[in-house]
Amino acid sequence: MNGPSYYEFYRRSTVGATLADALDTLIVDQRIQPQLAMKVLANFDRVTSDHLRSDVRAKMTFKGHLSTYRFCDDVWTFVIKDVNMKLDDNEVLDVGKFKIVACNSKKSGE
Amino acid sequence: MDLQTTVSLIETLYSPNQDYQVILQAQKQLQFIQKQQNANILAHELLQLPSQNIQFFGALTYTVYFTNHLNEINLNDFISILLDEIIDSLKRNLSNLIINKLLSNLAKVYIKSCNNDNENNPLDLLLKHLQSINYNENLFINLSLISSKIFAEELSISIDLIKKEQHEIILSNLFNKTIQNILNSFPLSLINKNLWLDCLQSWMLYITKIEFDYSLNKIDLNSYFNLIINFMINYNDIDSLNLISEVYDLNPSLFNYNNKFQLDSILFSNWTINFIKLNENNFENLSKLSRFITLFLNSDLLNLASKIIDKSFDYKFEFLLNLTNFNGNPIIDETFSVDLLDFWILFTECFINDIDNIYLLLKNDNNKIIELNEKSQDYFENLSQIYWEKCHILDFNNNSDNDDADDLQDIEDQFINFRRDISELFETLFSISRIKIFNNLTNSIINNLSTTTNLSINQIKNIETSLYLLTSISSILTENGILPEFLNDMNLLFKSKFLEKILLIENNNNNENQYNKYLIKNSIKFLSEINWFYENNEIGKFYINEVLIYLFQNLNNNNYQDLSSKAILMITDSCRYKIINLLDDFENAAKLMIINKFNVEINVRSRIIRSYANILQTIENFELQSNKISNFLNLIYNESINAFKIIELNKGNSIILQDINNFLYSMISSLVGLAKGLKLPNDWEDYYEENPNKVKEIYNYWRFNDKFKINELCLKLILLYSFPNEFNFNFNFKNKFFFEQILNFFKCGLTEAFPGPFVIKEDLIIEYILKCCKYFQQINIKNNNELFSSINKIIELYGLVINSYHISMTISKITNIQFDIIDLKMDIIINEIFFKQFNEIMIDPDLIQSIFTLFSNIISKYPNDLLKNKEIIKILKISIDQIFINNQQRFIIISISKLWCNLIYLRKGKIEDIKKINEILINKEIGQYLVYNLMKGFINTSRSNIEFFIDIIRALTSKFSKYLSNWIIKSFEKINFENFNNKIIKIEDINLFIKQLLLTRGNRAANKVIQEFWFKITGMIDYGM
Repeated sequence: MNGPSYYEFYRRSTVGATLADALDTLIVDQRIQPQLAMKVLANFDRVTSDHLRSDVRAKMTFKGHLSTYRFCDDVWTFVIKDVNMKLDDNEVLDVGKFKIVACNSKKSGE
Repeated sequence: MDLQTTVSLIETLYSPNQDYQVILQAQKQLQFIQKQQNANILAHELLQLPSQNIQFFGALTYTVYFTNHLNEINLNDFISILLDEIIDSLKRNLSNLIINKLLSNLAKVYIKSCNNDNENNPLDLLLKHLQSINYNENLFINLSLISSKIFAEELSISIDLIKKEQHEIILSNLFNKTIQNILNSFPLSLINKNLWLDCLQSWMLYITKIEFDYSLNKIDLNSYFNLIINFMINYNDIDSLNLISEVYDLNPSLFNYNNKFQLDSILFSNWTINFIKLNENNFENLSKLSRFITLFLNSDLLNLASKIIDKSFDYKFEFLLNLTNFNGNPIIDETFSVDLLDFWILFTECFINDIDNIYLLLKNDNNKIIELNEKSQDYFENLSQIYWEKCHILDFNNNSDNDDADDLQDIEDQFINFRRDISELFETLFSISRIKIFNNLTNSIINNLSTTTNLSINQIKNIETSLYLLTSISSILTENGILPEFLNDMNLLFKSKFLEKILLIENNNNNENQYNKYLIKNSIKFLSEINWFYENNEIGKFYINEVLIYLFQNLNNNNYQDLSSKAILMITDSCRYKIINLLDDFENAAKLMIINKFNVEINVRSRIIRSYANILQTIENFELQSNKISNFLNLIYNESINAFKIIELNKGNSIILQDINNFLYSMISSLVGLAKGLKLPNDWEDYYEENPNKVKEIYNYWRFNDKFKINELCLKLILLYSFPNEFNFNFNFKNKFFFEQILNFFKCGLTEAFPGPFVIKEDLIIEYILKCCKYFQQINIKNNNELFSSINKIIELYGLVINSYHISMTISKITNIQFDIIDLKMDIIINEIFFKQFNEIMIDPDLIQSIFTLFSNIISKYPNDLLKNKEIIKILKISIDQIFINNQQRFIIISISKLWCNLIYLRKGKIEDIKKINEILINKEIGQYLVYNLMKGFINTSRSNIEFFIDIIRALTSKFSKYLSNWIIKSFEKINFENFNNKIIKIEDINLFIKQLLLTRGNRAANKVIQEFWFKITGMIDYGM
């Protein structure tokens, strides 16, 4: 059964980019067709999105100074500076700059 | 190719354990055959053969034939052919796999051919034909539902390729005429349930998508939803519940008022209770029910919130609260409290984020608003009580039903997550009802501890839960949010001697149990989250000593060392000025850490020493400060010397050597801890603004007047750890971990704005770097990872020196404080670090990356110093070679890309630097050499690395556009001549690329141009990344 369409932005994550590189290699070696690579990436979009929603329970809280924010094309962007992040298990991280890109969890059509 | 050969190839393709090359060859040949003009005839012939694989390949061949000859074939004729094939397959009772593939082909052709509402759709034709030949009724029903589902799925796949008008025709021609007829003629029953639900689900998805994407009028599926709701009610059917949940998840607006009303009535009725009873032992089904309740309620949260004052809704809220308070332990015995938690979090958040909208729904009627607030407070009080109970630690060890260790771990993990979500709910509830929630939790601790006799397990669990939730609330409190009531509650809590009593529980309880451990851990976490209490008021300050005593007592226990030391560090860092009176105590504690070789983790030791340094930093008397630091450094030095002596005596004993190694590591870490603690606490600009005179005093003392010569003592320690042979020990350092700490130590000083006890002057560090380089050159370095890592640290250290010196000069200008002008000895350092260790560096990707990052760093700060280096051409050529040689090494490419972008843009460069780089690139032909290697690397690199090549190409386009065209053409002439990948790049493609690239003048549009050129020359497709 065909589900809803998914965002493609996880393709730019390290694992997504590495998958794309691996698919390119398979195409160059003529082991798969580009269409199959596209299907694999579409699956990757779906699986990543679904698993992040259903399985990932890690949470992080943070404090910092909100430097910039915008809402454009249904995408929120926040740039936060001098951030103190608190991860699970009380682990603390300090970072100079931190960017949050947030999209509607229900994409149009979903 | 004859039929027999084709059949043989298909059998090869599908037979297991075949050689990969054989399969690839068969696949290629078959793909070629499928694309032929007469492939439709072959498809028909294959379908007539008995083997299922061959038949399926026949059906597949129709798909390929249709896709390849779409513009040549008559679609109506092709539909007739497919209809005949399907009817024939049905008559011959072929497998469903083949019939479904043929139906999918039929749907594909229909989608392409459907332009007219008046024509009969092929599904209709098929079903009518089957009726006319009296096809078996049960099979007919199944086929009708399956084919409807397949048509909806094909439509969803092709949704973006179909225009809005065509979607309208499909809805009218197919859905209204045929699909509705099927769904109405064969209504949902126990026999056809799965097929029917699948069919409706597929159409619901398609209709939802086109409604969103094409703004088509809503298609009313409510009559079918009503059937499902009734089916679910009558049969307690979980599949129906799943579909209703899915609709609520995707598009709750598909339900009309009547259906919503019916769902609302049954959810808050005996039906739910019966369902729960029926599924008593089926957690999965119960979880599905609670998920649905959550989705159902989430779809109209604001309205529900406004109905709190409506008496007719009282039973619903009571029902929900009762369901949340379901009997038993969460996760182990029940899941309602877990599943409904998401709903409650969202619901309570409405009262913070959307309160204005809720008031609007109440028409801003003051009386109603007051009633809403009062009633919601009551409900939330009840809710907090329920989740406070559910938040109690479970007994993970005595769960007899789950003996498996993995299962237990899984339950524990789930519970920890659940607990964390409860704390999120409490944070929201706290925002709504601040004083009450805080007071309830502190009171609960005080009351449970007030008993004189031994505490029961339940009381311990109560205290632990309240501390856990109080910690969570405290973590979100800021200075502005502190109310006098909180301070009062905290005062009462501390007055109740809760810390002493908790320690007593731990000490009295001989049988250590998990609840005690959780209790102590959460008490420590709580103490490290209430800086707001210690920092800004006198009441809190009064209790800091008591808190620190408690934390130090727990430091003796291995289970709590880590948490306690973190808490101590946090308190001494933020309250350093309030605990100056504890300096001597901390000094003793820190010394004990060194002398007694206290059995603590390295990090714990370092934290305690850093805590001492935090307090030491506040001392106004520099001489006293320096004296204390000097004593401490001497202590570290003497203990280290003793440890080094023991190494010599125990060379054969690996266990003792390991222990000493660990001790030495903790000593050098202690030095870093001391240096970190004595750093200025604030941003240097703020500090200077607030204390300009103090800064001058600091400068004068540490620059000129330090009697105890702390800098020298530090360097002596560093040299001891780097070159013990110079201290008459018969060995030299080779421990990368020591070296890492040495770098961390230097880093503490190099990131300081003003001179201080641990700020070592840059020229001394440069001397140290040169000494290390000389040492590296003397020893055989190959295959010695420890030393590779150390070289890396040295390169990084020089980069830090460059940055620090650059920042010092800026600070000097702002503050008018005269910093020393030093010689960065760049030429010598480059020679020692790079050229003299060239062979070693070039075999290690990390070192290549580090060295080019260093060059890039120098170019961004002191371009002239590097450009005037007599070996600059050599350096640049080496970097250019790496662009091709290491085109797949992402981090090398990143560093070189940064170097070249800095060189080309030369943002800090003066006119003479710009002239120099122009001369290098143009007259010395380095530009041509760069572009040749850049293009060669570019066409061979991975997709994920293109962006770094793009950066250099954009920089060249922006600054050297006049020469770039020629450089690119010549580069590709050479690349084509070399024919490196047996691939010739067409001259017209190159010309078009250059033309498009130059038009962009290196702006953002160039990204797409360069990317598309990469797609073209590599034959790759755009994945839309």
